[in-house]
Parts: sequence; structure tokens; C-alpha cells
Amino acid sequence: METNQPLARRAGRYRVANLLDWLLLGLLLAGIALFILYPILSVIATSFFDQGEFTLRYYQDLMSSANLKLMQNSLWVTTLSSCLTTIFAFCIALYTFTASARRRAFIQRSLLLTMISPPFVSALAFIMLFGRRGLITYQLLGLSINPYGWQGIVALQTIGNISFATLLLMGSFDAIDLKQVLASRDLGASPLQTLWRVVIPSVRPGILSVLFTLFTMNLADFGTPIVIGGRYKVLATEAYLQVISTANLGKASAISVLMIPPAILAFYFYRKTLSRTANLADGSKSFSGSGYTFELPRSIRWVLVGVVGLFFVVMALKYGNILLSTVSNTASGEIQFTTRYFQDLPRSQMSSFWHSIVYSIIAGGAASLLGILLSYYTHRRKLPGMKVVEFVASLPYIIPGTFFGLGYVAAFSHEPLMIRGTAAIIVFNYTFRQISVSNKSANAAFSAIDEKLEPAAQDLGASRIEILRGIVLPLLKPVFLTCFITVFTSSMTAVGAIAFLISPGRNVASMELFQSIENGRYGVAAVQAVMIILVTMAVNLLAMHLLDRSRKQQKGGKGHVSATEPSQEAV
Amino acid sequence: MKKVLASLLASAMLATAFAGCSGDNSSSGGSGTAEKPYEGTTLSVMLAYGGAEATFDAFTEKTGIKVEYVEISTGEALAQLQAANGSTTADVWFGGGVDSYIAAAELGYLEQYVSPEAEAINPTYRDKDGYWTGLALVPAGFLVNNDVLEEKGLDIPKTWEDLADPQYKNEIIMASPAISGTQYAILNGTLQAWGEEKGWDIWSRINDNVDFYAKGGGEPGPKTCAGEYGIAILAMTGSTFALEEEYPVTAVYPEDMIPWTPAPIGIFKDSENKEAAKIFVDYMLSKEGQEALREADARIMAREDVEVPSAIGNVDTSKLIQQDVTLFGSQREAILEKWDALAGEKDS
Amino acid sequence: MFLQLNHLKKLYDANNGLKRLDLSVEKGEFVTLLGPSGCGKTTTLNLLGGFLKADEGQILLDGQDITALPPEERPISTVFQSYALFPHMNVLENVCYGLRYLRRMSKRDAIPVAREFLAIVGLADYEKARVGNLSGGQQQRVALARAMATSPKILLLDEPLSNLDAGLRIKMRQELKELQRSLGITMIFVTHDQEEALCLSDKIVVMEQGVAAQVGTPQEIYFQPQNRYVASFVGKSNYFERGGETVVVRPEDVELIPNPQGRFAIVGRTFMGSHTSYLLDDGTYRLEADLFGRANSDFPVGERVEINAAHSFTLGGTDRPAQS
Repeated sequence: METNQPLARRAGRYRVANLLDWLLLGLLLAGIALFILYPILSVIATSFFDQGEFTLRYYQDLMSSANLKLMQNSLWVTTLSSCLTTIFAFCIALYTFTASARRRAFIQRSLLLTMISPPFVSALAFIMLFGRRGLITYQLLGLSINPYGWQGIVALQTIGNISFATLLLMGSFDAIDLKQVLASRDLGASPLQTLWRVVIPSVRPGILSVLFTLFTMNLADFGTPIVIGGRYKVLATEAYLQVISTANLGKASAISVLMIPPAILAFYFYRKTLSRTANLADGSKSFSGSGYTFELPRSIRWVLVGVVGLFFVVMALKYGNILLSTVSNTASGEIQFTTRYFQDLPRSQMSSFWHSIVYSIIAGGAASLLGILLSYYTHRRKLPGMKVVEFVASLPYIIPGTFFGLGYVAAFSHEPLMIRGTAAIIVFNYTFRQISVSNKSANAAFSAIDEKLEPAAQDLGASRIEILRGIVLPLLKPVFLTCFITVFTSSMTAVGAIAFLISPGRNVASMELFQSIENGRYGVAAVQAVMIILVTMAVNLLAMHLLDRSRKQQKGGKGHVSATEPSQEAV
Repeated sequence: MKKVLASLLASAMLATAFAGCSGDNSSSGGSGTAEKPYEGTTLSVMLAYGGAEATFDAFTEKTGIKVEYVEISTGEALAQLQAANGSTTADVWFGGGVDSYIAAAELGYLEQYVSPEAEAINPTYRDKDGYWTGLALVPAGFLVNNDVLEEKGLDIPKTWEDLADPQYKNEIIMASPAISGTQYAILNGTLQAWGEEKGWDIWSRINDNVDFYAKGGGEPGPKTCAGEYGIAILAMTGSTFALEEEYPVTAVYPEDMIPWTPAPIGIFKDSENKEAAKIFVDYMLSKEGQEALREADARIMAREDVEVPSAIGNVDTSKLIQQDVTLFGSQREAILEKWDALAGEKDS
Repeated sequence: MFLQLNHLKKLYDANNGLKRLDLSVEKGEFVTLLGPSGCGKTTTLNLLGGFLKADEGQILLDGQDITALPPEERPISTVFQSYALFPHMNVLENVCYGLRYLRRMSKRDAIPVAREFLAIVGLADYEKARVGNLSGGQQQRVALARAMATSPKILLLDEPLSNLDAGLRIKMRQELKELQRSLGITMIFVTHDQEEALCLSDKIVVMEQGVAAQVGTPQEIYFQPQNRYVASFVGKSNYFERGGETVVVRPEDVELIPNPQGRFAIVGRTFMGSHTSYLLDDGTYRLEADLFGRANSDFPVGERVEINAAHSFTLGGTDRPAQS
């Protein structure tokens, strides 16, 4: 069986493939340089120049005591809400760890759905339920508490992040080495002691990772403090307000730049804990699907059940309030049904909505693909210098959205990159802001795939492109789909970066929502929020369905083994 | 096969997205008739005037010019402009804070245009160089929640000075003048009327009654309607008065003086459809346009021959402050700095 | 000379890697690279496969210099230690892979060829099975079939049997040897297991710290080790100093003669099934003697014996006749 083609022609095919491979890499690098690095540098540059002259004025202004208080405030709420979220998320994750498979699946689905949370509506629901005239605090309990202030910020950030944090932690719990748990029990430790001595240390890297991720997210969050912060000032909102009140781009940029060091620190710790997590996944049988259930002492069980129950109650209240607000004026304290809000939807609502869906779908696909490619070139091909690129790609996630959006305006308003005012700028912004999400997922997935698969394919004659298409991408399909869901959802609900990128005829649903709230049209806002939630849910369910199907395929649902049972075979 | 379908679908979506979006921007003018010379053109509008979009259809019918808009606060719009050095895809700026327009004009972002219709508009309500023209006047006043005041045994405030009364502690809510154009107008106008010394003193005492400053002009109203606060300071438009029917609130014009701000309209220097934009501006300043706007959301229109609508209650136009609107622009930085020193704690 | 390695070198740092290797391989030969971890055997394999670039040296295959070719262009296939089967494809698709890409066959043409090789490894009924559902032994055969299907000029095997349990390993050894004989494929096998090396190879390259300590047939390696390293690594050795030379006696060549005045005392005994291992001591030397059969399995500990060497040799030298 000789080769069918002479060597020279075969070599040509490989040259072409290698060229394409370089091209792909080049596009990836160019994209990251152009759409992540360049805008960020533009903003940083803005903080150092006042009308063309170099100055440190903005930073000097920031060193005043008032601004130090600002940083203090930011750190306080961020740390507090991150810690609280982690604690609650841990409780829920621990509960699912010890619960039946059916309950676990139910909770997981609920968590995924509750991640769909358009901005500001939770804050409004919170005010309506627990505010000065809140349904629960005032009408029910006769209290008149003030929800505005740091307590409101912490409460809302905590509630808002629990779903996300819990899902991350559940992943950590799933990866626990079953053998270690069994060994602990075997050596005489009770379930509680095993929990303390074996389980928790195993998930400790995961907990730290979640903590740091939450920290950076909360630090950059400007939507929550704007609605419920009252007089409590934090860095993220300050940057935004500096921009729209005094158009002091220099000062806003300086504030944003100041938020980078703590975020980098958190990222550094995240990377350190990630490398330690990798040691756990050594192929030993993991907990999930092992059929073994973990029994905890009653008292602890009840606490956990309480937390989970509380979570569901809070979520029910939140979404219930939003739904109710679409047909009734909840602020008036009475329930009267009206379809007025549906009629009052702005003229541009439908086209903005359509834009949102299209842009978010494109961004979902593109971000997932680019993130996977980035992970591939960095961790599989191990090309030099890619770790730096990976870091750059994670920057947008660390900095406040408003900062990133402003960078886009500054960077792309003149030739030759004049894409302001087009759909492209919004799509690019959505996409490149979230590459880091799929990058991290792909990293985790790759660490579980045999390193030798690609060399084996190469060995068997596949070109670089054939390897990407036939081996890497098919194996990462689950990552692609889950990231698509995540990116799509956050694109549909994002406001921070987009606030400065919309233009006439190029609006998106989340900004329409923002405008409604800014103008006090809460009923209409509720309708818009519900629309966003429904559409996002629909697309997510579709993607989840595709995900389940592809998982079944890989596990061998279709293949049939021959009649002889494996135990009887002659090997 | 699946892959082929998927890529086809993806390209189809991409195509529609980009085609649908980029096509509209170009001015396909020249396809018009003598009567509708710019038929087929599409104007892009940055809008900060509640309810105005209802008038766009009538305009399109009359002139054949389509209107696309995005609702965006003038603060955000100005920031966009600054970051882009004046370059923008929008043609017209509609409504919002006049101080932003003044700043924009100074930075060279606006086009000079004095509409022939501007003759019917009082010169106080328009820029003398023609960079912007007032569409309407937005008076400011109070919105009080009767239930709350009754419950707490408070009197309905009658004047601005009344607000300084300590009985209203923690019951007043208003927007930050750094963000809300209306609120800034209130601050600047009253300072002009009272004079600096008296003015800052009164505001300092009012500040003691405020818990925190809202970050949007649209916040005080709903919050007072919901009963969270007893008194809101806000713009008085038709929709403000309409709240009286739904909630236990009353809209009150202060008896000592009524601050006001013009809601302007302007054309961007970077616009590619200046001629069509001018037609738009002419329409909005014409009697027909002004009446349409007034129907959409009741305000005192800038044109002198358009009647003051009854929907905004009994406004005593003689109480409108005699103020120099150009000072809104020039004094902004100084006033806001002083405001920050005064109220900085509660304001952002 | 089918395959020729000339002055091949690849260093990771001053001490690790392949320092220098010269090797000739005939067509159809089964060559084993034998040594502990870190000796450079896997590095050599990776250089041959094209996964590493050599610092110096040449690789000539069938007259062609392939030193600079990337893996996909070399007519060489590898069976990896972890098998590296593609989890998202079934068995048949895995085996067809090389045929489709290296041989550029269409799917239709590739299938019958793949089936042939699956039959050769005894997995004809497992075409549609998903690789994740197969046992270790079955996976190993699929990996083998996959690599062989492309009819490579050289087949590289990286410790392919190390993940199998003992009984399976021995069985697979047999099968591998028969396969190689019948198909006549030139194979280069990497292992640290000397038994495997002795059993399977036509030629063994014993490697130590990046160089070849000795190259030879299994008999040469076993009966004429050139140095202490090879003598100890392959089989067990008892060392004596005799007349300024080091004499080596294998434990299985030691005969025990019970003698109350014997020089040696039996100080330990371990029953190993087919043979019994005795530890002998005379105050100067400590020896190991392996005696076979039931009759030799119960010399008591403490008994004194005399020994006789049925066969001995010097390092680097020739065999010696029997002596005490």
C-alpha cells in the first residue's frame, strides 16, 4: 500500500495549511491588539493628557482625601459582597454535593436561568420590596428602612452574583477525588470531619478562584451603585459620572486606571490557584456520577437547606416583582392590571431588540471561537509569548465596562478605523470583552484532554488546519456551547461598555431598558426586562439542548459493542 | 451537512445585520420631488426630550425624510463627542441640557444655523450665534406626596426658601445638578435671582434636608410617587401633572420664582445631511411642529404664538426667572465646583 | 541500512537529553531502546517521530534525509503510551484516520484497509464501538492498528505495554512479536522493562544518561555486557574480583553444593515460584543464587554450601568456562 501521491505534492498541501494556520494566529493576535490593547491604551493615554499636554494633574487630584475615601468605600463594599456571595454560594454548592442527582440537576438549571438578570431591575425590585415604602418592609412589617447606601449595594451585588459563583463552585466540587473521600471515611473520620479535612481543602483553590473573580467583577460594577448607592460613592460609578457630568474624560480615565492594580493582583492570585487546581485532576475517578452520596450531620443539613430555600425565595420575589410590574403599577402599592406599559414601549423597541439578538449571537459565537483558539495556541501549541497575549485578553474583564466603552470611542472615531456608529463597533466590543470567559473554560477543558492527541494526529498525516477542524474543535464543542450561552446572556444584558457606543438606529435592548429607568418609566422598563429575559432564556435552552445532544454522542450513546460481553472477551 | 447549514445561517445573519445597519446611514438624497426635495434621506437624531418621537411620523409624512433616533442623555452624548473629537454619525441633537450644547458649540461640534422660524422665538431662548435654538421651556417646581406629608404632619412648601425649613429633613429628593440639566438650571437660575451670597446660604440649608442626590433627572418623580420621599424637585411637564391622576401627589409651582431651562435643538457640524437637518429644525420650530410637540408632551413652547397648554397647570409666566442662559455655560465649572464643596458628601 | 542515525543530539540542559547516538537499523528489524527514565530513549523516539528538532545530527530513512521534516510528512507512525485515541470518533474512524490524511485515501477506499488491520489485531467486531468503552488491552490494539494501517516505513512504540496488567502484558508481547514477524514492519520500541526488551528484540540499545551504553542482540547484551551498567541493568549480577579483573556470574549460573565446611552460608531464601532465590554470604561477598525446579527449592537457611559457576564472564571480555 504505497502512498497515492508523490511526496512533493503532499508537501504543498502542508505548506498551505501551515500558512493558513499562521494566518489564523495572526488574525487572533491582530484582533486582540486592535480591539483590546489599543482601546485600553487610548484611555490610559487620555488620563495623562490635558488638551494635548502631558500632565499628572488628574492623578494628583485623585490623591486628595475625598478620593482616598472613594477607594476605601469601593474596597469595603467589594470585599464584603464578594465574601458574602462566596459563603452563600459555598452553602448551596455543598448542598448540591450531598443531594440526589435529580435535585442537583434541578438546582443547576435554576442557577443557569437566574443568571439571566437584566441590569437595574433587581435594584428596582429590591427598592419596591424592601425600600422606604417597600411591600415587605413597610406594608407588611411597618418598617421604613433606607435601602440606599452601602448596605443596598452589598445586598444587591451579593444576590446578583450567587448564581454565577455557585455554578463555578459546583464545578470544583464535581472534580473532587472520590478515593480521597472514601479513604477518609475508611480511616475513621465522620462525614463532618471528612468535610473539614478532605472536601474543603480540595475545593479551596476553587473557592479562592471564585473569590477573586467576584472581587474584580464587583469592583468594576457601576450599575448597582448607581441605582441604590445613595450618597455612598465608589470608584466605578465615580468614573462614569465624571464622564457624563463634566465630560472630564481625563479624570474618569485616571480613576479607571486606578482600578487596575487591585484587579491585577486578584488575577495574579487566580492564576496561582489555578495552577494548584490542575494537580487535582489527575484522571482519578471524580465524584460526579460515581453514585456515592455524602451524608452530613442534621444540623448542618438544615442550615444548608435554609440557605438554598432562602435563595429560591429571593429569586422568586425578584422575578415575581418584575413580572408583576409589567402589568401593574407596583409603586402605587396597589395591584391594578393594565396593558399600558406594553403600549408605551418606545418606537425603536423592536428594532433595538432585533439588533440585540443578532449582535449577541454573533458575539457569542465569535468570542467562544476566539477564546478556544487563544487557549489552543497558548496551552497546546505552547507558542512563546502567548501567555502575555492571554493576559492582555483578560484585561477587559478586569476593567470597568465604561472604561472599555470609552476606549472604543476614542480609538475608533477617526480613519482608518472609523467604525463608530456602526453595528461593527458594538459587536466587536461584545466579543472582545468576553474572550477571556471562553479562554478560561477552554483552558480547563484542555487540561483534561490527552496532550498527545494532536501529535498523534500529526503523526498520522493531518495538517495543522485538519487537526484544528477535526480534533480540537469537535472535542471542545461543549465548551463552545456553554460559553456561547454565557457570552450571549451577558451581551444581551450588558450596559456598561455599550452606553457610549450606541448611535441613532443602532440601539440595543439593554440600553433601551437603561433609558427607561433613567427616565423613571418603571412599568415600561419591566416589560423590556421581561422581553430580554424571555428571549435570552429561549436561546439558552436551545443551546443547552444542543449541548446535551453532543454530550450523549461523545459518551457513546450511538455505538454498539459486539455480542460478547467485555468480561468474557479473549483479551 | 450540518456544518454547511450552520455556516450558511451564520453568514445570512451576518449579512442582514450589517446590511440592515450600515445601509441607512448614507444619504440617498436626490430621489425627491420638488415638494419633498430630500425624500428618502434618513436623519439620525440624538434624543433627550421625552415623548418627542411621537412627532417624527408626522414629519416623515410631510417631508418624506425618515427619522432614526437613539435616546441618550446629553451628558453621555457630549462625552461621546469629546472622546471622538466631534466626529459623530448623528445629524441632529434634540433636547436635553443647554449647558451641554453651549459646551459643544465652544468645542466646535455644532453647526451654525438660524432658522427662518426662529424669528417667532424670543431671543432669550436661543443662542445668539445660531448654534442652538430653544424648542420649549421646561419650568421646574415641586411634586409633593400628599399622603406622606399628611402622615408626617408637614406643610406643603410654597417657595424655594421654604425648602430650607428643617421640618423637611430627609424628605426632599432631587437630582444632582452635575448630571441633570434641569437641576443645574434650577441651581444656576436661583443663584442668578438671589445673588451669590444669599443663594449659597439657602442651598446649603436645603442640602441639610437631602439624604442623597439622584443620579438621573427621572428618579425624583417616581420615588416621590411611590411614597419614598415627600417632596421631589423636578421638571414640570405634562407627564408630571398626569401623575396626579395615578398617585396621591400634587404638582406645585413655587410662588416666589420659577426656574426654567430651554430644551434646545441643534445640528452637528459633522453631519452629512445638513440640508435635511435644517428642514427638520425648521419644522420643529414652526407653528405646526411646535403644536405637535406640545401635544406629545405638554410644555411651554418657545414660539410666542403657541399657547401655553393647560396640561401643565396654572403656570404664572411672570414668575419665570429673568436669567441669562449663556451664563449656564460659562459659569458651569465654577458653580459645580462650589456645589461639590457644599454637597459633595451626598452627591457623586 | 534502512534507518541510520548519525551523531544525533538533543539536549534540554547540560545534563538532560540525548548526548549522542549513532545507530543503524535494518529493514524489518525489531530494535528496543532500553533504559531507566531520563536516559534519553523517549527523546530519541520523539526525534524520530519529528516532534523534537535535533540540535545536531542526521536521520536517514531509506536513503532520504528526514531530519528536517515535520511529523505529518514523515512515513513514520507512533503508538503512544497513553494510546492517544480520538475520543469523539469510533474505532473504525480512528483506524481510518492515518489512511485519510497520510495516505490521502477517500473514506470509501480507507474503510476496507482499516477493517483488514482491525481483523489482524482481533477487533473485527468492534468497528462501531466508542473508544472510551473499550478495555485497556482493546484500546492498545486499536492504537496499534491505527498506526500500522498507514503501512509506515518505521513504527515507533513508546512503552505501549506499561499500562496493562501483568498477564495481559505477557500476552500482548507475544502478539506483538508475531505481528512484527508476519508483517515485516521495522519497529523501534522504547521500554524500561528488560524482560520485554530481551523477549521482543532483534537488537537492543541499552541507554545510559543520553548515550548508548551497548548495542547488540539480546544474547550479546545478556551474556557479554560491556560494562557494569549493562550487566546490572539487564539481569542480575554477582561481581567478583579475580586477578585484577571483575568477573561476573549470573545468579542462575550459580550451582549450590551442600558442604558443612563450605565457604558460603545461606543467609536468606525467597520462593519465587519457578525458581528460588538464595542469598549467600562468605564474609567478603554477598551473592544471589537462583535455583530452578522443585528439587532446588528447600535448601535450609543457615546451611553451608560451596558454589560453582556454570558460566561466567568478564566485563567487556569473553565468556569463561565454568569455575568455582
